[in-house]
Amino acid sequence: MSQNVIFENVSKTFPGRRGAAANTVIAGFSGEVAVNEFLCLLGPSGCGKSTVLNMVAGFAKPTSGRISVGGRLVRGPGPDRGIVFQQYALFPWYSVARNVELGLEAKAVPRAERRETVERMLRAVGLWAHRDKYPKELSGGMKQRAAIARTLAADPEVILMDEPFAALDAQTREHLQQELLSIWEGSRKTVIFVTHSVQEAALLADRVTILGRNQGQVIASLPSPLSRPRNRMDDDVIAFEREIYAWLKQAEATGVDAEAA
Amino acid sequence: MSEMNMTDAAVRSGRQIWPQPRLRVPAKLVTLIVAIALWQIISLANDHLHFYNAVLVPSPWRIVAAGFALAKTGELFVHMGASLLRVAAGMAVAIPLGAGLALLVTSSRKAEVVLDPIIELLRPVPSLALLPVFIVWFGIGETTKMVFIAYSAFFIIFVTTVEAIRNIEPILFQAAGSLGLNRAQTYFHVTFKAALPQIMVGVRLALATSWFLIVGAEFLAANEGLGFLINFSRVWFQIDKMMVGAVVIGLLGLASNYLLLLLEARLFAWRERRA
Repeated sequence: MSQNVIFENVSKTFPGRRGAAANTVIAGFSGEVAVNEFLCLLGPSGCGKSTVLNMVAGFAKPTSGRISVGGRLVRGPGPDRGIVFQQYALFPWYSVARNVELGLEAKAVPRAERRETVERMLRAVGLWAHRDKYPKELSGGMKQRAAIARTLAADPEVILMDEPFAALDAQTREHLQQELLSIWEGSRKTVIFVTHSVQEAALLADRVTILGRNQGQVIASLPSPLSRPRNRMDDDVIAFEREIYAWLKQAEATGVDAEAA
Repeated sequence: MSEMNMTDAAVRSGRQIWPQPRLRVPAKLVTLIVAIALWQIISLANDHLHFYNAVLVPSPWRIVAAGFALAKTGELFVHMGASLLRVAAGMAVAIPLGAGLALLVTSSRKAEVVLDPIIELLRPVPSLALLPVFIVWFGIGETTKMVFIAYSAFFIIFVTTVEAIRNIEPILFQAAGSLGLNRAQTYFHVTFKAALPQIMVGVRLALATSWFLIVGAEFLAANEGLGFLINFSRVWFQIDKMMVGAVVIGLLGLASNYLLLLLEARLFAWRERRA
């Protein structure tokens, strides 16, 4: 079942090494990602958007504040929050099918049901014919498809995506965006999607949250005016892109201000 | 989404990256044959010209003949079997112990604090330096040789395994955690699987070292074995037999290494390697 994510006054400070000043990446971050909402986190590099995602995933602990998923406090990584990495992070010693099956095995899903889910997920991402291949035999796009299938198969309550398509070529990226949307529209889930692409955010998001350079303060949180399905060439999509872009410029400017101050 | 629009080129090129196990020999074999032939020719010339003492440097043919003679009486196989068994027994103890303790030390802080200083203290001591001690402790029987090989091989396997585990990409552990794998599952599906190729490299290194060391051990304390054959033949000034012992040790080392390479190529076909 899909769940919401609530941030309550979350801060993250990395201790400075060898006398260097401590680095506060996120300060007083609050907000909610609603059930089944597709949220895009956008911001200039170094704004802390990946740190936010890592804290939800349970890979990093907030210095202060709380993050809860479906009312339960995040205390570490767990199968209720699936993650898709930019670097795929497939297990290279297992076939595509075995990679997808592993999360189900961890949940002690019976074998027959496991097989069924693996087939359904691999067919959904178009990798069924490649199920017995090792990750090294796949192209980047196919690896990311396999990673998405692996995450979805474990049926998490929230899906976290950390610039999942940033390493792919433009064409593959477009395909995968469309596939992700059609899968997501088929069975909705709460998604937090970190990206640095304005176009990607406009195309995918229900809401776009833009973080500034200055300790991850929220510059804008824009509900998408667009209906689905969307076409990246439609005028209203491009208009929304323009709006996001304007806010992003402002986010970068606040960073400069903060540095000057 | 159809499977038709999959990037076909990428799939095809992906197929071509299949690693060809690097076991191609022929060209290098030719070098070897030429070198041995040359040595034989020089020996034949020497038989007439006598520019060196042929007893001290036997010809390849005389070494082979001595080898056949030793094989005929069965003596050679007794020595081979003895050395082989000692190396195998030592490795059989060292592999589970080295890999097991490495897994333990890298997973438990307590185990690391207890074991690591001891292992690091003993590791720089050449195991040959301890051989006389082992002889005093365990006598000159088989136990001494097995303990000696096991002890020497242990450190190599332990160190390579620890190194392998520490080099596993953290993102794989993050992925395992997010898939809900528990500690034991993560251990098997990530730590062990990721470290296995390096463990095998450790095993190969340890094996090479074991062939090396068993000869030394058999010089000192043995009544059979290839090391014994070499040392005993020295006493009787049978240089051809000494050479047979050395050649057979070399061949055994070569063969065992080759077998392990074949096994690795089969076991780790998933590895991303271009060489």
